[in-house]
Amino acid sequence: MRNRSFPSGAIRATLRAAGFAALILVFVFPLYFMASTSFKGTREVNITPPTLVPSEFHPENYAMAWNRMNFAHYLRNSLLSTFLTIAGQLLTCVPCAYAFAKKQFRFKKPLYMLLLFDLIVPAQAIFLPIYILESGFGWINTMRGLVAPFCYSAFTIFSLVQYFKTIPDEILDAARLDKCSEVRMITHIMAPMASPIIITTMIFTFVYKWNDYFWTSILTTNETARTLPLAIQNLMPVDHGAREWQIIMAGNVMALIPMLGAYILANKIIKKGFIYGSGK
Amino acid sequence: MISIRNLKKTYPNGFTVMENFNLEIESGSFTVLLGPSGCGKTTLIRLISGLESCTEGAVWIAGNDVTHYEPGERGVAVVFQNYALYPHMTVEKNISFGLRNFGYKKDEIKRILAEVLDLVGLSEHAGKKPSSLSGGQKQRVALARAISKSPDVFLMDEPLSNLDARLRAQMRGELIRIHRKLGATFVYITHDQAEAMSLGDYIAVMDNGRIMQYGTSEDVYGNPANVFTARFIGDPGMNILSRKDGTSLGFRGQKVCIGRPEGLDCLFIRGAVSTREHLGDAYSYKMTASDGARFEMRSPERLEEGALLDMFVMKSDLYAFDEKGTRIA
Repeated sequence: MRNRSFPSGAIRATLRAAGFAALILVFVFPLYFMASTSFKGTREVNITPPTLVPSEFHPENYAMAWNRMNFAHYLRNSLLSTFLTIAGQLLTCVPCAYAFAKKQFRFKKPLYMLLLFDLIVPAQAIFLPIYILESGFGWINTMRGLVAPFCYSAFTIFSLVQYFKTIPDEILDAARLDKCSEVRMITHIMAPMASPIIITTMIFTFVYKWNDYFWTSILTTNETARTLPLAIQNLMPVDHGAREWQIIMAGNVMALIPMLGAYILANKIIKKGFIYGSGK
Repeated sequence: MISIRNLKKTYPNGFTVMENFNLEIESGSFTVLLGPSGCGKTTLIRLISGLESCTEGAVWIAGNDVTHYEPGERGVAVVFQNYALYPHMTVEKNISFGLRNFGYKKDEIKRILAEVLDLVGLSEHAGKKPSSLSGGQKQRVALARAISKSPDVFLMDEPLSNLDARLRAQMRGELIRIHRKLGATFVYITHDQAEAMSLGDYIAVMDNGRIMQYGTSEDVYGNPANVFTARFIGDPGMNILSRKDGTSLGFRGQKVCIGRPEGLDCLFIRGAVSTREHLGDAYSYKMTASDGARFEMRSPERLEEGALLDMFVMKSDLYAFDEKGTRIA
């Protein structure tokens, strides 16, 4: 007897492998090409067809990029604006989500509707009023101007509310009987129990803020408060008629490294968090 | 003593759970609030503990009007049905969290921890998270957490109903032991009348936000004040036969005798066995009387389904109720 399922199973496995290969190619190849280009020499960058592996190794591209784009200054701005935004969101969104999930107050429903509405409003629709507001405050080109509007996030609040709602009310009751203040309720009961989801949303915030080009380009006009994504732009001006792609790519790789680090670190924490959460 | 005076509770959606509610709970007693779900017993405990605020009326605990006190200031501890342990804290932290909020010193906390963990037999589990404990152990932690603050009043909202039957029986014994040892007031909610009888010095039978009867367990069983209590207490509940004039007659299934009541002052019933259940030491029968009335009977004798019988209940074992269901004799 012929086993009919075998060939069809093999075909399916092959197709699946091919699908994954295509996905990897689409996602990983640009990253690889960026990294490989960053090590190439000036001449090799412009060869057609392009080489996949650099024939000569030029790590000095990184030093050039670092100096030319004033990397340290922008890195500082990027780190500062990202971490201040995360801190701001933790300070505002966690208590806000706690109130929406567990408290009764007037206009709770319409306010929550407003929040949900904010989820679907695109940034392009609101940048002008925010710009006008900030220029009125004199906050253009300042760190607080880059951070303040993002300390609130409808997405973060929404995600936290969904999770907080699953925490049984009896646990909060038990805490109230334990003479737990509202602040301690948030810091010692709600936040630790929701830590996986808080960390996840903060990673989203990190990636969003770290990569943000749109808002930063609107809210800054000079390099005082500008961040890495805009600094890459500084590498773009043409020198002697040819763009120095190897320098641009070196800058990109350097801008990417902190985010990769955050991903790897967070991945571990999230997995740990969810394992603990499921074992309740 | 807990004293509840003219209490009224209306929820924001307009539903009034109880009105003009009065109850005095003796200091140091083990009082059980017994009633079907939705009768207001959980609300009552939440009102006593301050987790819910009263719409009207007052709650007094140990001679103080605590109506406007915060839950943490009332000297009460609550044990919840689903344990309500902090899942991210170890057993030890679960207990010490409250103590720290109450301002106990470190060495005091240490001493209390050792004491209460020993009392509930969980000393070896101090460093574990609740997720790695069994249901019974979790409830012991909740109990230890309640005991640690040495409250005047323990409020327990069906603390054993998430446990299996054997563990429940064991925990009952332990609760009685702990109650004797601490001498505090225990208020215990259950919908299980057998649990109420085995635990309670006093039982408050509740229905629809009202106290139907409040007395010792012997009292509510042997001397029910109304049809509701009579039906609710006992296994099975009392049989109630309604009469044409609207009044009714009650008797317990255990008091039904088989045979002809020659010259005795009694209630005579002729009926047939509908179903039989074996209970181990006896049989439980669902009976249908010749006039169509249904009742339950307990008997050690094995009878066949469909068998036609003559039965009687002695007059001393009969209870009479008026049209409103209030006991008259």
